[in-house]
Amino acid sequence: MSVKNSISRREFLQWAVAAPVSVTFLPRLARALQEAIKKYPIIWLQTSTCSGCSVSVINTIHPSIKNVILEQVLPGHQLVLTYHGTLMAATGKLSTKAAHEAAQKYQGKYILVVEGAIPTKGDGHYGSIGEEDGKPISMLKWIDFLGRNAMVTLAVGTCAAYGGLPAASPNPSQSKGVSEVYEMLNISTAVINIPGCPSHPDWFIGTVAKILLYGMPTPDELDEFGRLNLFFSRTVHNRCVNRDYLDDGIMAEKFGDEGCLLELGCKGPFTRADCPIRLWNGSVNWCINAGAPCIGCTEKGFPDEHSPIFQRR
Amino acid sequence: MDVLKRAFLMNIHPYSKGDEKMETLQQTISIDPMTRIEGHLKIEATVENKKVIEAKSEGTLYRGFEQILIGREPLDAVQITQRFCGVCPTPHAIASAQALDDAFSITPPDNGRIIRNIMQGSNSIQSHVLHFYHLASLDYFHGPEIPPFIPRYEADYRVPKAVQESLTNHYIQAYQIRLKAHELCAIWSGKMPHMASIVPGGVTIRPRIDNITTSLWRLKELTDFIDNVYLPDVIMLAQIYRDYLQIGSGCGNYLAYGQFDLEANPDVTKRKRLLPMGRIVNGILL
Repeated sequence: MSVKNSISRREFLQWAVAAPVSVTFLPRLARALQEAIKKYPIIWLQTSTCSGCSVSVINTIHPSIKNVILEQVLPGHQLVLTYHGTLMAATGKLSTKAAHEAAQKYQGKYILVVEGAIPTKGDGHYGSIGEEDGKPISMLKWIDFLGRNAMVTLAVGTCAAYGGLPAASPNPSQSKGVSEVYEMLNISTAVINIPGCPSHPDWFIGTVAKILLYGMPTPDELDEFGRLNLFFSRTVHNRCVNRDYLDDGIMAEKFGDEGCLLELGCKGPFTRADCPIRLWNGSVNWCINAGAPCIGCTEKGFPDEHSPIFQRR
Repeated sequence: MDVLKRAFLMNIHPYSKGDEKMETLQQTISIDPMTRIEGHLKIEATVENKKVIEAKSEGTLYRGFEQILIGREPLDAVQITQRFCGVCPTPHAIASAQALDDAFSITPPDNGRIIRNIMQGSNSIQSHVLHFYHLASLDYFHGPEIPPFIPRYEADYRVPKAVQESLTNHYIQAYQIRLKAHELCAIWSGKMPHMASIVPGGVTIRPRIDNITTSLWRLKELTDFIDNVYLPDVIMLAQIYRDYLQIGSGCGNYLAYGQFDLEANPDVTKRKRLLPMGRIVNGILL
């Protein structure tokens, strides 16, 4: 799988949607062209999903979702949300056409965001979006077309990264994560996993910002599960605020008890995520401070390897 | 509330489009995918003489949660079923917890019942705001001329330009409001979407006076938006599109399971709720 380590300025400029002006005409105009806004088409494909990751991403506070989709998310960089099944104005055939046109017009230059696992049973008929010649277009077919022509794929949420809930035993739809499907379909487009159930909006925004400014992450910036070390290097247990209870041997034995939640099945020791630092929803709370054990939702084994939820692993 | 009274008392006149020539031929309209919903849906309608004579809906995704639940620890159901939907995980979590309460003959204490209601209420606010502004309203007005507001079908837009602008501003503002509703929920649930603190027997979180106080004021901020922006927008659109109130009632059969337990009655069919359970059959409330 080829991974481009960086995208040169020249490559950006070649497809930046800026007014064509001769660079040799005036030095000031030349500079203006160089500093022209770089636009990044995004195709956000929702497959076997609950849409929780979209709902979570629009919970972003700084930047607000308005900043992200209507303004320059970083100075000189603008995301263009060409396709999103839950937010876009177009519907039916018009929406499918929008995705196809964007993929063709910006071939090799768009960011494909996948939210949800991909059903692979049979010919992928457990999940379809739209029709072509009277036949449903399977999500598998969508992935094949959109994945192959993308610049990079962001697998947002544990379902897209590793299969997640739809892939839980017995996996009736034979759902798989994006990387696994790409391998199956021989697609070499790079994938960055941004897991979580849902994924935290900061993880998504942070990953996008990283790519915009520094290009593709280097292999040592990603862990063995394709996640950025930036967000997923330390376990929940490493930095949990309940470590003082554990040190003092104060263990919660039933729901509502004060104390470390290990006896109630906390999967913190097996879960890498910065939730204890970042907290959730404008940092108002997180699972542990609500008295609930971590369920390991950022991990490849979620949910089966972390089940039963309330029993120690 | 004045604004609601006015809505109920307003006269409803059929909207006439003038000299439109109607086809007597049957026309089948298929919308696949239906966007601005959660999930994957195809709608097919056959229209003849301005009437829908046949309509079909098809969910175009199967995940198999029922099969996934079989054989698992019962307590896991609350977490698994929430993943049906990232917009409305709350009712699934609460329904699962209530089913388990029933199965284990547990009566949650008042605090557990009330905190579950707070979580449900705050997420209902989130989902209503999301639905009206971010899912439905783009059928009534168009946003700016950039994606994802284009491309679009040129729908039956009737709002004057000034209203167009205020709706656009409210649409943007509504993004902030709904995330604040999630913050209110997360104070009790741990995070949103997908709540951590709902379990059979009640909730895992112990209420604190600071959480209660901040919740009151967060709710006030949400209520201000609902009273001063959301409701007036709904009523304004209802007046401009008053003919729509005459159409789309479907076959007249509706079912509601009720919401917001007001007491701890172990008999789920007799338990008092703020929104009671009930049926409407052939347009008649039973």
